Amino acid sequence: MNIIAVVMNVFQGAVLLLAAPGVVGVLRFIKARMQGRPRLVGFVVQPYRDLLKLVRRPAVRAGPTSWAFAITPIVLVTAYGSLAYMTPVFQRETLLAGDLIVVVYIFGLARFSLSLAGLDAGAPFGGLGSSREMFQHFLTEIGLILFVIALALQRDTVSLRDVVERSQTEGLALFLEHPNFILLAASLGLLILFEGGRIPIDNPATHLELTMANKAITLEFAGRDLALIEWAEMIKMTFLFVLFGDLFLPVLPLPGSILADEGWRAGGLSVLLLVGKVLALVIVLAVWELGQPKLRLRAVLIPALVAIALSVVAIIYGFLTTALPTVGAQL
Amino acid sequence: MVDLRLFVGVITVVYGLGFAVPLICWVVGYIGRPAAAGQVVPDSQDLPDKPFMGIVKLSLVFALLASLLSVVQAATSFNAPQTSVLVRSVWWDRLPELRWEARLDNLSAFFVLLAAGFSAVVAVYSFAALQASHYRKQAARIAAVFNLFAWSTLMVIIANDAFLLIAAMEIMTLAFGFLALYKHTAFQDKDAPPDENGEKEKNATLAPQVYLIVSHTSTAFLVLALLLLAIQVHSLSFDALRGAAHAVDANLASVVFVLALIGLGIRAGLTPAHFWVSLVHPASPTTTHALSLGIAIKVAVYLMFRFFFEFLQPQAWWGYAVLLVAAVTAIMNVWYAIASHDLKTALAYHSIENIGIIVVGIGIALIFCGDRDPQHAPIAQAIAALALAASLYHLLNHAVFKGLLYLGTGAIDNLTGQVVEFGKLGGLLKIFPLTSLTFLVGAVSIAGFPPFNGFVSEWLTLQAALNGLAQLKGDLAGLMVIAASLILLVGSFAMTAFCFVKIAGVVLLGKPRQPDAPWVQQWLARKKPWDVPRPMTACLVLMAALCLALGVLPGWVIYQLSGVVKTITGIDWPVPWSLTELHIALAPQAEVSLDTFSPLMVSAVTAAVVIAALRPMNRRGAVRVPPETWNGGTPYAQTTMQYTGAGLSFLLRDSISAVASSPATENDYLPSRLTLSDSEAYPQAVVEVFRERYNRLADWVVTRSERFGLYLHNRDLGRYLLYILIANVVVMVLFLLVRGLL
Repeated sequence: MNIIAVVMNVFQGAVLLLAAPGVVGVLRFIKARMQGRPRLVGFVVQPYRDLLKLVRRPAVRAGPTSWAFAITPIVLVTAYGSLAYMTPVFQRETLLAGDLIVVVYIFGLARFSLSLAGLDAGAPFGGLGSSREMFQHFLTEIGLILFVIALALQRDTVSLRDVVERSQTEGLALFLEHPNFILLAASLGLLILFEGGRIPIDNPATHLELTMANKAITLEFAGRDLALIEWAEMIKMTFLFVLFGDLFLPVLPLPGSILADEGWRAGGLSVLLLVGKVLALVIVLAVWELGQPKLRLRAVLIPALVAIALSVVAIIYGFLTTALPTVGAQL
Repeated sequence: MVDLRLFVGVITVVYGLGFAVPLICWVVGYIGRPAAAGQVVPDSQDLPDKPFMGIVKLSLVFALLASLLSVVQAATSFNAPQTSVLVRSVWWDRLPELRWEARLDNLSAFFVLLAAGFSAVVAVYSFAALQASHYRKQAARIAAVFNLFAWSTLMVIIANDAFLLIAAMEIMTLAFGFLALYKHTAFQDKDAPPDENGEKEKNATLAPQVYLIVSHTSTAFLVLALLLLAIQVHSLSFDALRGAAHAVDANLASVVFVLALIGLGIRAGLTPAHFWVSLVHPASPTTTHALSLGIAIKVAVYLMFRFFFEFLQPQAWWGYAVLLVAAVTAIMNVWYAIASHDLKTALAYHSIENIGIIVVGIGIALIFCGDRDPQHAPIAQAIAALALAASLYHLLNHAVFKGLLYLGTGAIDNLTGQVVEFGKLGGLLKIFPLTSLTFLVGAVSIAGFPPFNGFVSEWLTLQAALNGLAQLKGDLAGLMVIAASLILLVGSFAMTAFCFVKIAGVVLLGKPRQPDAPWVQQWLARKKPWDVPRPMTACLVLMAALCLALGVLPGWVIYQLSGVVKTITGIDWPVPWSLTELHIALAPQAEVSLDTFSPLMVSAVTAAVVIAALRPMNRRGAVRVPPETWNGGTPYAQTTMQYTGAGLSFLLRDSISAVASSPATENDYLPSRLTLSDSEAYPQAVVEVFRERYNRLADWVVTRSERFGLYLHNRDLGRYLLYILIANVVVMVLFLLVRGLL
């Protein structure tokens, strides 16, 4: 790997990290427009402004907290940030090797650390948030691992790079060749709602503590600690968009290592495609959230079970299409 | 590496000295009767008198010495050529087959390394731990029996014939049963603080009884399995069994397998028989408790490797059976762990859950070892090898992180004066910083998050299962069994994370839940954290460092484990390893490619970022620390406003009970009043389906048999004469049958 490739790999992750607040800004803007409150939310720059405002203020950590509380924002940013360096964003090569199981476990690590922080201040809302956060983690982890199993049975690998590459090279014919990818896409879509804490699982914009899950934990954070946590959540959301686009919105094959193996034209096209995909997903999510009420806390079991069922059906469908013909031939 | 015979002799002598010295001192009256109150050990909080603790330390030094010798022996004989040695021929010449044979192949060496290494750590830890006031009066006997326990564990592992195996196993059982007596003895002590409601005392009395009954049931099945095999080859030596593995009839092999699975399953605590672990293990002293749960429970897993892969020719259906049992074990016990209320019980349940995860690897390996289709051979073998490596890796990891958590619990136990209930702890991270830090490392490791070691073995297990699934694409039944166990397994991983948020969050974080407890008062008065003595912290830090090392350098460990896999199955599994990337190719021609990830690199980058970010984040002026957590102008002054463990887990418990009927509630078990047994003696907060069912079954058998007995003995002379007639006829028929006259 030459130096240009390394620089491009670092740049690729940095793009995701830096663009994340913008993506969330667009999402909030579109939602606000559609809800008829356009003046209240600035466009792309608003989350950057919010983060800057928070960074300038000192962190406030309550007396009963320990270092576990202080370290949580950094753990969150590095955990989600490492995901940005494992997944192909606009080129195939990545800085770190990783697979989908690692992704699931890194999500788990972040939730684990956030839930611990929720218990550290000794306030009841934090514990409430931790309980809900880990409950959702329980549901999401099973769903995600089943999704990974279903995908692995189709692709014979769970390596992020390889899975994405195969999806991208097949192009949109993907869904014709493997109709169960429609089920898998739906499953991942539901799981993104879980993992990102979106409506109907959780309302990221709520101000009522009793309905909060994730946000109830962040209540205790302030200043630059809060800025890091907010940024981490934005990175996670953007990563989920990119992952979905990588796996289920194949348009053109991703170029290898831009500037090292391939020219800047391919790179530019790839970046444009990336922007288009993420924008499309943002619009879909905004429209979806517009017509949804938040589910009751216990009722989130149902979408989780739906996500699991979709993956299981995808596994069975894969079995029927790939294995049965060979079994039939043997008979 | 020395001659095995010499090695066995040396460790027997050294451990024997460790066992005998306190015993002899006690017999000759040098240290007095430790259990008798006030004779030798003063009741004040001062250090106990010198000769007593001196003898305890001497005994522990012997244990440490022998353990270190065993570690060196095992490490040097790893991958060395194997020979079995006759240690001591039993002088009973009419039964020449009864002999003591030992062997130290890679599998034994791996387990000796684990057991002896861990014994050494426990010995160092006990130096300080046994000085705690609640151990003081029994310290000498705990140290002595610890020697015996460690020795017998090693002998079970290096035994190469059925006689030595069973004998050593019995010694191990008795030694552990004796250790489990300690709380019982503690409650007999007149000076001990009174038990609140007598429940603990009942449990303490029950524990050794239950343990002995359970172990002997397990040994009975094991002896039966061994004898069935030994009859076939006319030898008790394992070499003969190994040699004749191919010749054993497939049906007989299945019978032996089922018997061995039941026997070893009971000993390992696999699900229908898991009920004893959470009762017995918390009853033993924390120091040896760590050894028994970290290592001794894995002796059964060690024997599974021996039985299923070496003495028998694996069949695929065994694998499916083992896999399902293991997956059910994992999820069921983590469920009980979530419902339990104190550290020791929760960790005991987690131990069985981890045994489940370990045995999942064995199950997958059995499926693919049993697949004898030559077409599948290279890939099936590679998947079997991978699954075994995952299993062994998890075994190693479990010994490390569970050892760490147990030693940490022991430290908390000593620091807080035997308080381990979740509802009474809290905020330990600020009061006992180092113990709590290492405990947190253990919690993250067992929850299976990178960059710690639990993640690597869970990742390997999932990879083995995924590759197995991919290989079984054509076999719907197999596919469904593996997929179902995989779902259970993933559920148990997720629940473990939940459970450790509860454990670590409630115990280490927040505010102390009992502000008037002496240790909290001491902290408030001093305004300075303190911790356990140096030997204990050294052990904790060592184990925590191992957790990290096994998590970031998995390549080398897997490379070494491939040698053990070769010993178990004979599969040659070449694993190239690199420092930076974990990459395992199943086989060059395999369609299935395993994936890479770079734990070292990810960890290094993460650590660099965290360290770089810590300084600006915590700069002077960047942080304000108000004294209390505020709620819009009023502080949350009351510690009772914090979430409790039960409150944390309620959402999960309640939601799952809505889907599946709940096996564990936190209500107390109400025994039926009609029955004879005193089931009230199981007043644990967790209600276990199986324990309840076993009790019902025992009650039913006892009542019915008694009723039947009363029916027979109804004092009617005519009926008694009829019995005599029937007995005579039966004896005569038997006589004729035996003589061949009928």
